[in-house]
Amino acid sequence: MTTKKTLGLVLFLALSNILSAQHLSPIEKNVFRLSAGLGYEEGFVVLTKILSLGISYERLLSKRFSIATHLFSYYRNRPDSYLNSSPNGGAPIIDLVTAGNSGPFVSKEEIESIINTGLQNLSPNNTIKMLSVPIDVGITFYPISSRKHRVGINLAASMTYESSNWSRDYFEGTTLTLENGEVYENAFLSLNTEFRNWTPGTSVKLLYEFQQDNYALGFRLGNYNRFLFSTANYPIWETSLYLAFKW
Amino acid sequence: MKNKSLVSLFFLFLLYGSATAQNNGISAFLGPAFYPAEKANGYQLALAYQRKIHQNGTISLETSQLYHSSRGILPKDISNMSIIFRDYTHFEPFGPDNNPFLWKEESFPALRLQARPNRFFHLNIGLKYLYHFESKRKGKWAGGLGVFLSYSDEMKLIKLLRTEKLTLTVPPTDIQEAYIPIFYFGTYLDYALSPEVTYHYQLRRQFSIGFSGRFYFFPTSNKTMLALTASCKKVF
Repeated sequence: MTTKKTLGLVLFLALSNILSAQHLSPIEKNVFRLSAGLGYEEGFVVLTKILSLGISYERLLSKRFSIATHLFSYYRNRPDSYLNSSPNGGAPIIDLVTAGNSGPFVSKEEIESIINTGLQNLSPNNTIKMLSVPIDVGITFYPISSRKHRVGINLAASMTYESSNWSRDYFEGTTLTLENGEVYENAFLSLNTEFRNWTPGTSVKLLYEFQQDNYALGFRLGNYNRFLFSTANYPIWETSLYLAFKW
Repeated sequence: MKNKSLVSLFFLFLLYGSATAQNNGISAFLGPAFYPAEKANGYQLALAYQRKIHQNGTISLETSQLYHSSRGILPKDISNMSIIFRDYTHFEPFGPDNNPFLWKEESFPALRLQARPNRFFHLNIGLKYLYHFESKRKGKWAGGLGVFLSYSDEMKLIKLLRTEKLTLTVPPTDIQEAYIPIFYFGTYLDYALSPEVTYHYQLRRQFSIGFSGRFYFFPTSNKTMLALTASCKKVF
C-alpha cells in the first residue's frame, strides 16, 4: 500500500469517525415532548375517547441514558350500568339529576338554572368521572439509537393525583319522611363515594422515535401503576403520539 | 405504506417549516385555572402548533384540558352528619356496626385530600390568533383571541335534601335528620371564546419561555373561566 493510499484511508476513517460521532453523541442534550393520545384502564379497556395530553422533558446524560420527567393528564367518564338498568322498577332516582332524569325534589326553576346543554347534549348518563394525573421522574435507556431511529424504555417513580367518584352503593325501597311531614315511599338512593388523593406508584414507558434533525415523531406506550390501597395496584395505560424537539 | 406516507408528509411539513425561516412553533402551557362562579379551581394543560401568517401575527391550532373542582355546598365537616355521601372523613355514614362489608378508613388511599365533588372538565380544540407587539428586547407581549369547540363534562352538588327520617330496607336502618345530596350530571358539546394575553422571553434563538393569562367564555352555557399558565415555545 502506498503512502498516499494509507493517508487517504486514515483520512477517510477519521472523517467517517467524526461524522458518525456526531450521530452517536448528539449535541442536543435537552428533549421536550408534547403528546396526545388515549388512556386505558387495566386490561386495555377504553372508557373514553377523550384526548389525553402529556408533556415531558428529558436531559440526555449519554448516548444511551437520560433522566426524564413526564406529566400525563388522563380524564374519563362512564355511565353507571346499575343506575342505567332501571333499578327499583324504574322509580326515579332521588339523588341524581340529568337532562333525562330530574328527580322529584328539584323544581322546574332549578332544572332550568342547572341544565345548560351548550350546543348539543351528548349523554346525560356519565355519572362516573375519573381524573388521573401521574407525574413521574425516571431514567430512560435507549438500547437502539441510530441517526434516524431510537427505541427507549423509561422506568420512573410517580405520584398520581386522583379525583374520582368511581364507586357507588345503592339503596332500593327507601322511605323518606320530609321536613313538612310528607312521606315518600319506595325511593331509590345511590351513595356517592368521593376519592381525592395523591398516590405513589411507578411507571414503565416504551418509546419509539423517528428522528429528523432536531425534532422527532414518536410513539409511546405507557403503563402507570397507582398503589391506591395497601394491597392493590391499579394500573392505567397510555398510547400516544408525540413530537419531540431537541436543543 | 399509508403510515410511511403519513410520516413522510409530516416531515415534509416540518421541513417546509424549517425552509420558511422559523415560521412555525410549538408550545406547551401548564398552570392553575379558576372557575369563579363555582368557586372552583384546577389546572389547564394545553398544546399548540403556531404558524406565522404575517410579520407580527400567528395563528395557532390548540388543544387543551381544563379541569376544575370544588366542594360547592358540601359542608366542610360532614363527619357528624347523617348524609348519604362517602369520603375518607365519612366512610361509614350509617348501617350496623361490625359489618365486615362496610367501608373503613383503610378503604381510601393513603395520601388523602378532602372531597371536592363538583367536577368540571373541558377538552377544547380550536384556533387562536395572536398579535405579537414589536419589541427589540428578548421579552415580547402578545394578545389575541381564540375560538374553541369544547367537550364539556360536569357533575355538581346542587342541593342537600333534609329529611326528618330516612328508612333503609337493606341494611334495615332508621336515620333521624338525614341529608341526601342531589347531584347534577351533564356531558355536552359547547364552544368558547378565549381572549389571551401572553408574554414570552427568548432564552435561545429558537426557544422561549413565558406565561399566559386567558379567559374562556362559553356564551351558550354562560360560563367564564380563567387560566394562568407557564409556557414554553420552540420555533422551527
